[in-house]
Amino acid sequence: MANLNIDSVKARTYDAIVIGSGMAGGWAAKELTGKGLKTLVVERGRDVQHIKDYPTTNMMPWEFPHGGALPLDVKEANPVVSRCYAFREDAMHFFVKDAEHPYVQEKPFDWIRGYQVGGKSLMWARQTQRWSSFDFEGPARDGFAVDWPIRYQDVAPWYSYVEKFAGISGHADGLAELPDGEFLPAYPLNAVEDYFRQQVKQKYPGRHVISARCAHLSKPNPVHYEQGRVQCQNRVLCQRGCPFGGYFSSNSTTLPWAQKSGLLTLKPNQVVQSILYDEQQQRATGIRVVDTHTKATTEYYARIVFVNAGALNTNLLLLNSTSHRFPQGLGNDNGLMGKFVGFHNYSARISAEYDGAKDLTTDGRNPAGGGYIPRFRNVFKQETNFLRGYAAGLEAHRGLDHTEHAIGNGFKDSILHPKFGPWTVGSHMMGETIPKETNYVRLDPTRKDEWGMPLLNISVAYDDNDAKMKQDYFDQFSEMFTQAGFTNIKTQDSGQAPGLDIHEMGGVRMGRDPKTSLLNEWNQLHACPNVFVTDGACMTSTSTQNPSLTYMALTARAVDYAVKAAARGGVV
Amino acid sequence: MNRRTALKTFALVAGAAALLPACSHPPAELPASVPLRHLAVNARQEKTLAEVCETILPKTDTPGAKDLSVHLYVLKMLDDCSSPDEQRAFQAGLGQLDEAAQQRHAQPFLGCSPAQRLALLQGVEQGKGFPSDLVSFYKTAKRLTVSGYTGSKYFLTQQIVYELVPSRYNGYFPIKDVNLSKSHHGQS
Ligand SMILES: Cc1cc2nc3c(=O)[nH]c(=O)nc-3n(C[C@H](O)[C@H](O)[C@H](O)COP(=O)(O)OP(=O)(O)OC[C@H]3O[C@@H](n4cnc5c(N)ncnc54)[C@H](O)[C@@H]3O)c2cc1C
Ligand code: SF4
Repeated sequence: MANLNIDSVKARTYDAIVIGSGMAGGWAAKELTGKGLKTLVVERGRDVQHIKDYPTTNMMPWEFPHGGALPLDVKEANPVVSRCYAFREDAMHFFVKDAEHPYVQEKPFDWIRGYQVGGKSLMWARQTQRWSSFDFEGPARDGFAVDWPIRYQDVAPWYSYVEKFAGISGHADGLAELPDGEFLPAYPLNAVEDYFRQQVKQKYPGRHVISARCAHLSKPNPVHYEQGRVQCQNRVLCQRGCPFGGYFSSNSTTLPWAQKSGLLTLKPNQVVQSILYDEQQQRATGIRVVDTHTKATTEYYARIVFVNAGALNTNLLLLNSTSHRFPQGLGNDNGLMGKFVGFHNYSARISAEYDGAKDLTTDGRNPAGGGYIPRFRNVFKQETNFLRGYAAGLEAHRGLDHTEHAIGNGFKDSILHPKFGPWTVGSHMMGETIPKETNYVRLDPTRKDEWGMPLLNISVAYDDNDAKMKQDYFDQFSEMFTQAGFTNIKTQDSGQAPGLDIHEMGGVRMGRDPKTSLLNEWNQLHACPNVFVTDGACMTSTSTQNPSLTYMALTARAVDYAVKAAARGGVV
Repeated sequence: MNRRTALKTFALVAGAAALLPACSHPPAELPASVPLRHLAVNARQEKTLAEVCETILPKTDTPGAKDLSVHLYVLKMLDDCSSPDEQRAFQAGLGQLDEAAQQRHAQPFLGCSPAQRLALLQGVEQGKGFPSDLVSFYKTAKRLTVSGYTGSKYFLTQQIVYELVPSRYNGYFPIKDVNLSKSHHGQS
């Protein structure tokens, strides 16, 4: 009997465990197996295999019962996720429905999730920019949160490393505030985006309009073919999953690569309830999981644990991992876990028309979506009445004109043979928010979900800094659009709650001092160093950049450190 | 699928109508030919809606709304995707259409000639002197007729070619190279 038990424990023991198989977990799996570690990836959602499990990927528009729109009963049953632009008939099946996984909104917060193998890497918008020195130095310079324990130079080689593998298209623009990467050819700006670029260049020194950088294979390298991926075919139906592997996802890229090593065990449908801590060894020894169907619990063991459940779920899981040593959650000696949550302010847009470039239109589709305007406010010095700043997207397209007030033969003719209308131009703000102690998540004291996990209470809100920044965006862009000769300029405040940006971060922040932070410069819990947190939970501040590329780089960097440290017989 | 087989399919879909008596005004007692969960639309109102759609996008040398059974799409979208308010206004407006037709042409909408139907709906389009539900009905019907027509397989395979896999992007495409009267104008 004793032997049987030992065998069973052995069978459930790995070199490393990764919790979550999304953007960050996929990278942890690839790196750990790549360094020869027998790795278990545990994922609470169902399996989604590349291509095979993309049921809508080749559907024609008319094959959708509602032409892509959401039926009312779906909207009514799912007010939260229905607010996400990508939750439509073609990709609904990749999103968590409101009733399936409840949470508590102490303040309005749209928590958009994808519980499946691949996580949200399946549905993301693939925008990828590096952070700059100004971003890592932000909290120290402007006196908020705590100082990052790392600088751009620490991450730069890891950005290069993940960019080469993932495949990032972009242009080397030579900007200190948005460092260049290892780029595949950029997708070009169209005529009006390019016109705006030139106008801004002439009239606003220090402001730049560049091609959006994105995780698409505009021109694959041998490593991408080796991954089984080919050139992006400009379908721009990516949220359905791409049969060409044209964009980066865990499903198309990191997980199959890890699988090829023969060292990966992937277990879907397993909710990790807690991380096990051993007082004697003073280290985490493994995890306790619940099978989503049978509700049976099992333990798995490993020397190294990567927590990549997605920013807020990582907070939930660590807060729920209590022991005699850590009554407030694993590694949470200072009580700061769950606090200083940040996000991006995506609540502002502006649109306009342009009467020029009449002889031009676009042909085909642009996977990058258009242009990107890096942060230009408060970069080199503080210059406004708010802290930090915003980046912005830019998109122009040539509309078609149907005769508005007519029906019958003439109207039909205008639909069959439309004329071109003016160009329309749009921009959206991506504002940095300041992480504050009052923006927090915590365990619900009483309510639990079906799998025995406490519900997560979320209390996150905008502040005065966000309001001032938004006004500045409206003012600056109205002026820039006017200067460019655009007309019919309309600003739009969506009033959306935090969360819909889908860039929630923090709660388990990095820092130098165990008294004021939870993770060190290698993403190890100060108080339990064989546990690494490399998803959005680790973020000390938020910058304006889309965050996922930084999660990937930090993950690869932390795995490299963990494996080297283990080889030296070090703390992990 | 070529245009001929496409039209055959539409004929099949529209086949329910053929089962009705030769009289082209189906009785109000019969239910609609498609299952509806929220809307109470009878066979006669369904026919009226089909003629409204046809008046908006009539048959010319290309198929009209009726050939593509666009009214069934309108009903499905309304029944599944619209708010109860919009559904209520649509139903009320559909009833008011017959009253308006009676007043102006002494017939229900179905009894009107194509020219009378067109004149009546053009009036509603201007909005003057018509009840707000009728105007709302008309706007909804027009919006969905257009999206049903331009989203149909016929339109996206015969009129313009919807490209699932364009494999290109040109941000400076000369309009002179776009032929909007040709099947394929790259605007999908
Ligand atoms: C529509 C949309 C557009 C986006 N656009 C962009 C963009 O342009 N650029 C960008 O950088 N980012 C974008 N994002 C955000 C991006 O998807 C996330 O930043 C990224 O996926 C986060 O990676 P992650 O690994 O932390 O979390 P996820 O990818 O969410 O993966 C976490 C995984 O952990 C699993 N999990 C959770 N709890 C447990 C548990 N207890 N036990 C086991 N498994 C668990 C989840 O099921 C999930 O699979 C977008 C997201 C969406 C939805
Ligand atoms: S745009 Fe590229 S990545 Fe996206 S679906 Fe298309 S081919 Fe795939």
